Amino acid sequence: MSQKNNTKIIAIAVLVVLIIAGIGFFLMQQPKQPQPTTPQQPTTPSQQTATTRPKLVIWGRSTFTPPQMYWVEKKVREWAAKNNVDVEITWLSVTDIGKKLIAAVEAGNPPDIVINGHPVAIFAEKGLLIQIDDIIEKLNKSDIYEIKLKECEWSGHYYCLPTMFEATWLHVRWDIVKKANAENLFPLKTLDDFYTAAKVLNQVEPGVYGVGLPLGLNGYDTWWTFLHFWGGYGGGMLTDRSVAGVIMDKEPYRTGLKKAFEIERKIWLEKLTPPDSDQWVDASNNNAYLQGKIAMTMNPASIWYAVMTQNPALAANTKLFLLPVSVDCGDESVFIFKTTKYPDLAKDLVYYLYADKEDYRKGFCEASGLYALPIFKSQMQVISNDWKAGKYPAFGEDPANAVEKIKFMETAAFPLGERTTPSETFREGFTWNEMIQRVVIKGEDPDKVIDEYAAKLREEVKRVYGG
Amino acid sequence: MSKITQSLYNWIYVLPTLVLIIFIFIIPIAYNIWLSFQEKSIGGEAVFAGLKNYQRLLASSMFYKSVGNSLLYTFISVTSKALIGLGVALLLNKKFWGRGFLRGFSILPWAFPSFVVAVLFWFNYDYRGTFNTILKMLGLQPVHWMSYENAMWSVILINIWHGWPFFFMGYLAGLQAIPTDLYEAAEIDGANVYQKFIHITVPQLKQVLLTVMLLSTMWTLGEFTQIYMTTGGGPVDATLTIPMATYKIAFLTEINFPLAAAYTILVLPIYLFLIYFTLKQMGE
Repeated sequence: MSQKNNTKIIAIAVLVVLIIAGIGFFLMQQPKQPQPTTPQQPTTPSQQTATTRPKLVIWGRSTFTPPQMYWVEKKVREWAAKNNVDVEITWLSVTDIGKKLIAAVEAGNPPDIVINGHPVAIFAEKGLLIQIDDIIEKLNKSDIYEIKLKECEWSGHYYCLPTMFEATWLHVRWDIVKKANAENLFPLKTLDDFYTAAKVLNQVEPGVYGVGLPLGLNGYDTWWTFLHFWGGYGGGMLTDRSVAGVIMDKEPYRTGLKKAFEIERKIWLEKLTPPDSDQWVDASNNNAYLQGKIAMTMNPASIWYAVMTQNPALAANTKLFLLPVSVDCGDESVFIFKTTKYPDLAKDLVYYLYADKEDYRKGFCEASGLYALPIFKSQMQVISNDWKAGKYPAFGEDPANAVEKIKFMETAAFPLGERTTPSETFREGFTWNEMIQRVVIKGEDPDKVIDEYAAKLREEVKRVYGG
Repeated sequence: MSKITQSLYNWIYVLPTLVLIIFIFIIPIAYNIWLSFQEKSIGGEAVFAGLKNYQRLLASSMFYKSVGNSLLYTFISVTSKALIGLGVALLLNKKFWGRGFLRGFSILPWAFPSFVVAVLFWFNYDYRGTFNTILKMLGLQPVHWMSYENAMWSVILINIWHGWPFFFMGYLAGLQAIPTDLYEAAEIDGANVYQKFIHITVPQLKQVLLTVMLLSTMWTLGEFTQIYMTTGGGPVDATLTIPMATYKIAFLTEINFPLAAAYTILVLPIYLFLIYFTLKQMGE
């Protein structure tokens, strides 16, 4: 065969393959059958048959305490087997889940259910989530802490269910405290005592810094640690969902915010925290404590869990105290996207996760070393009784008190006390961290920085709520 | 076969590639351009916003800072990599015992993926890490490698360490292609080492030199992994480069895809300029 003919055959073959591929691609894009206007049926467990085996796509936020994930996996698979449903669970890291959810929503392909995830307000305020008032009622609404319910309420309805309280505890190296004769400082009486304690404990053991203060740009810890001081010293962010509601630059809130900057700046300048704290991500203060680089740090009890399971000698020398002001870092929640084909099934699964409250307490809270505290009052009572009976000797205070002391929530605008799109966006995007770094690390004029970020917040509030 | 028929066949051969390029490159770019003129919240509808996103970017210090950081990062990194690569290539082009081993060993940093390099440097830059341990052993004060003042130089160092072998390999191949007769003739004419380098090595290497530098400039300007994994663009904005800023606008501080799209369009000329010169250079 001549070269000319060969060339012709190859060219025609390429053209044919392209045409077939194009037609195939086009056909694949066509809906196989008319779509129902409301994505439904078959939806209830009893309606499932082998031919219409539904599938739920679930995304979870991986936690710092693996038993929680094991428990969720166990419960979900148990439920799936009972209901003849396929489930696909993907665990995403704390810093990834928000970004991936946002990208998935933008692509029009979010998961059906999110377990232990965030953000929520960004989606709830856009009307992208399914209302779950019925689940809350079924779980006995009065048994759920009001502060937790408020985190999931928009316009009088509930769109998520928080998975836990994550109260912040001051993890303290008690051997160093004793060496410094500073036992009487704990529990701290005021926020100023935090600086005093850091100074007293600094370099008592050579090379061990007084405190581990997270100051990194890309970690949530930087934000909520600062929130203790910002809120605790009387600062405020937002009073309502309007431009006029932005109060962070108004007095007396501005003074409160400046005081918060001041205490962190002092700790940084006086080298009471490790020099790499300005690079820390969420696990860094955990690691610094575990590696014996710091004498104390504030964190939910995930550090305690790690110490307990990885370093028994350090565990024996660790005590946990509540701070004068406590922040709930447990914004993680369960929620269902409206795009799910199986809303009733999804709701049934969410209910199933919490229905056996004792199992939830044991598998999700106690197994995490009390990193998670239960959202149910009845279960917190059990933990409180156990603490009184001496079950948790490292905890210097009754865990039930932790809930009482909670004043602020990691993603909620304060003093509004509700999760809003701007407060979640600023937290999720590490915008507050940038503000903190500019004053604390770079040493910029706090007034100038406050003005700039207040303007940014107003702009965001205007973008989301108008006016 | 007529010229037109031949030309038609040639087009048919490249059609699959062309279709792929249209789907994964041209259409997304067109969408990006369209998106850059919109305003859109997460899950919401896009609303035409005119030049608002561009105005906002051009009025923000972040835009200029990120472009400035990128240019500094790229210029210092590429220049250093080029010089180190050339020096090592010249050295390892000479015959000596163990040259083969050294050539192989030199390529090692480049063989590591970027994320591995970033992890290695976590340990090096830690305040109790390798570098500070060495400094202490020498009786010097430890350095806060990732401080606001030092972070940019530290990420540049990572990039240099990782990228210089690429230059070395390119230059070595170029050096080996230079006919030895030229050097011999120059020696007969009494040229010294410097003259031989300037009048033979550099002109002969010019093509390789420029191609490698342009390619590396494009890669370095687009470097994301190393910076994301070491400083995340911080402290504050110390290492905020163009790719980091794009990511930050889309997924972090702004969570604003149209603004990120506008940002990429604004910086696109820098990349197009480089692409043009690289293609021109390679075409030559």
